[in-house]
Amino acid sequence: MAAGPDPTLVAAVGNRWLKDQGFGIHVVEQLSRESLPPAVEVAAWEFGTVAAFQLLAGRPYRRAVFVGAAARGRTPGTLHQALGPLPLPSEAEIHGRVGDSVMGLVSLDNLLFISHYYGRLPQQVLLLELEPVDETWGCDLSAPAAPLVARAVDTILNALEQWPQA
Amino acid sequence: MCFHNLPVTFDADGTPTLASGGWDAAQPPRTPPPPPAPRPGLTPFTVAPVTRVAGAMDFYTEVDLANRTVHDARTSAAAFRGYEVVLRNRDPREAMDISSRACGVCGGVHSTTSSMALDMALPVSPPPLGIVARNIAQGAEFLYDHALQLCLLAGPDFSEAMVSRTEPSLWRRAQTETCRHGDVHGYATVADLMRALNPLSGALYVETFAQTRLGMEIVATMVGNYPHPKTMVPGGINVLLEPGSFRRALALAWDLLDYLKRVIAVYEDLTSFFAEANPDYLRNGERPINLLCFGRYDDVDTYDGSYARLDDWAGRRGIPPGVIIDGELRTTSLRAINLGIEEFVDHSFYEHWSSHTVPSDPAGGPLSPFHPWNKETKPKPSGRNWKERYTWSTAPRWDREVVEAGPIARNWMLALRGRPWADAVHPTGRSIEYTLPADARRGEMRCEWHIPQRLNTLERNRARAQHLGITWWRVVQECEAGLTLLRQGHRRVWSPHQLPDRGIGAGFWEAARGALGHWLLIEGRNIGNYQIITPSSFNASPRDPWGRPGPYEEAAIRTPITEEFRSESEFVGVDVMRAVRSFDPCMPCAVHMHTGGGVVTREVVSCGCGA
Repeated sequence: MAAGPDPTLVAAVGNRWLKDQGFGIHVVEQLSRESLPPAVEVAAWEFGTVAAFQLLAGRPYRRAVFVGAAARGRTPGTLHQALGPLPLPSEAEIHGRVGDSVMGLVSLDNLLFISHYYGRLPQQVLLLELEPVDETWGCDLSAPAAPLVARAVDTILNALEQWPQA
Repeated sequence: MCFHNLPVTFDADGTPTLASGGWDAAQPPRTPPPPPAPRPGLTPFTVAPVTRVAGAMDFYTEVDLANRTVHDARTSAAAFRGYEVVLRNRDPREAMDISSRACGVCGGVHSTTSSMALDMALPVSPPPLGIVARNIAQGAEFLYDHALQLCLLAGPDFSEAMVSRTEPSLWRRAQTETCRHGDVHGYATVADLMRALNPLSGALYVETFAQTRLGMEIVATMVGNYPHPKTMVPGGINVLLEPGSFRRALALAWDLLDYLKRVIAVYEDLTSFFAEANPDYLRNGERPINLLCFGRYDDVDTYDGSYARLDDWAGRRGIPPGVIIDGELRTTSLRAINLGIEEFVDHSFYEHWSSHTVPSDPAGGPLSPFHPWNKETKPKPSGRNWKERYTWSTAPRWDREVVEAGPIARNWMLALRGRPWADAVHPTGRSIEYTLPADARRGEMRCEWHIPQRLNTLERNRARAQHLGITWWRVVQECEAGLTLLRQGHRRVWSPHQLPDRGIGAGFWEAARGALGHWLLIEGRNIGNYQIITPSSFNASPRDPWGRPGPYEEAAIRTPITEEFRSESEFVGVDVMRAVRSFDPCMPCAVHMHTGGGVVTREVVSCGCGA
């Protein structure tokens, strides 16, 4: 039997117990209830970046959507898209980020940088980022972030439709 | 006598009694001579945050560059942990899941220790298969956790990239030094070995990403997912285990074996190279031989989780509990260890508490007002002041002594008092002998870890590497035990339980970094009090009420400066970093927060006061 195309990954990276840090987790939980194209894998990576990197490196994903929260000085409570990967920082910084990752830090940037450095990112990468409002203790998203979950789900569904299946 | 400072005595039957005069009669512990007063010219050297230590730990040292030694050191955990506060008034069964989040690395250890505290408090005893599954998952965690520490965190301090910069003369020597275990790890010279540890590009560094996945897969095979398993329950685990589960875990362990052999061999060669090159390396990170171990790997025939039989089941642990003070074994009784633990906050950002609500343990032994069952977590943020309060970490002590936790404590206790692990691991009283069998890539490897003469950086790292091999055997044997239990018809992995209106319990276990304890009071079917002391709480503790430094601080103070530098601006501080990293600092464990960007800031300031 001929093997199918390499799968597409939709992965949330974040900590659901730190309010807006859990944005991506809320998104993929809602996304999982939608009808998805074939060969799309949805994952909630709520753990240290090394484990996430190992999962990413262990599968030949063709494309990936990463969704999470990242504070980059934009207007809080807004949703942003970017085509990855991000430009790599210095090797010293990447090494420092490996250390943070080993010690369990849950970080979208760390995953992207380490995966990019080792050539383990899929060819096409879409980043969907919330500029967080509140990253303190709690399971609920902040009031500005909560309605953006549905928009993020729609954005991902659109991206999956527009990306050619073959 | 077990206690030298606490006013608790034991009669001929081993029953503990509070001495006349009560807790006020406690003796002040011996205190080391204070360091000389700071002198002009000392270089305050700040690493904030400590490189490759996630979380928020600042390590402040005063380095006497003229005399090439570290004059003083302070460890400051900069973030509030707070899980004790979060857990208060919740359903006790939530504790396993919530406390798991106390650490992003060893969350499963917290879940497991929490489930043991509930075993005791409810009470409920796990069936044999549940005990074996816990043992396998927890052993496998060490297989990746120690490897990550040795090859990605501590290893780069001994890499070509570091040594060629900080100790050029040593680097020249490394290029001609032949490795004694080159037949195992494949590196001809020590320089080759150091290249393999180069950050990002070293062969062993890169390989470690892939190999450690195998350890995580063993854990996931046993408990579903990691590092935050949802399957821990009071009285066992909640996973369907079949023969294939254990066979898969076994196969993964065998796949990992060749890598583990090489890591052990690498650290044997690194240790001997540094020790022989310059005796000052033997003083790096050296501190008194004061060690604490809670014990690990429960015995299916004796573990019931009860306090009444605490010493029976703890004494049968694969790695027995114990306390060593000044190199002498003080006790192997887990009950005595529990009675001797106190937690002080005099130099921490917490208020004192005044209540003494649990004056005795469940068997009637006297408990200090500073014991975790009596402690209240009362955060009180304030500015950092070295003479007063400077950290969010507390100062746990045993018999008011400063004790260190970690794999070297486990090895020590196994060597001293452990029973043989079938025909595989043999404690001799002075060492641990074991042979790793031939695998698909390499022949058998005979190993022996000797109780060292000194407790220092090199020996901590060596002990951690050897602990990998010892742990490999434990995982294999527990997998075989699981298969035997299935053949005998055992199927249950957990025992039913009832939630009582009141209860008291504690979980005593070993995380990768050392002794981990959870103490729990149930009141009105909710958590009345929950206290966690992590190994990093022991190791990263600040000064205690008697002014004695915590283990990180002790290890750094008087560490010789071997680093070669032409001017102060070139000074990197590698000696200090090696000393601190040898403990495998886990600030997510100690403070349970992260700093974010992970940007390393290093300040070398010319001010001489050290404030």
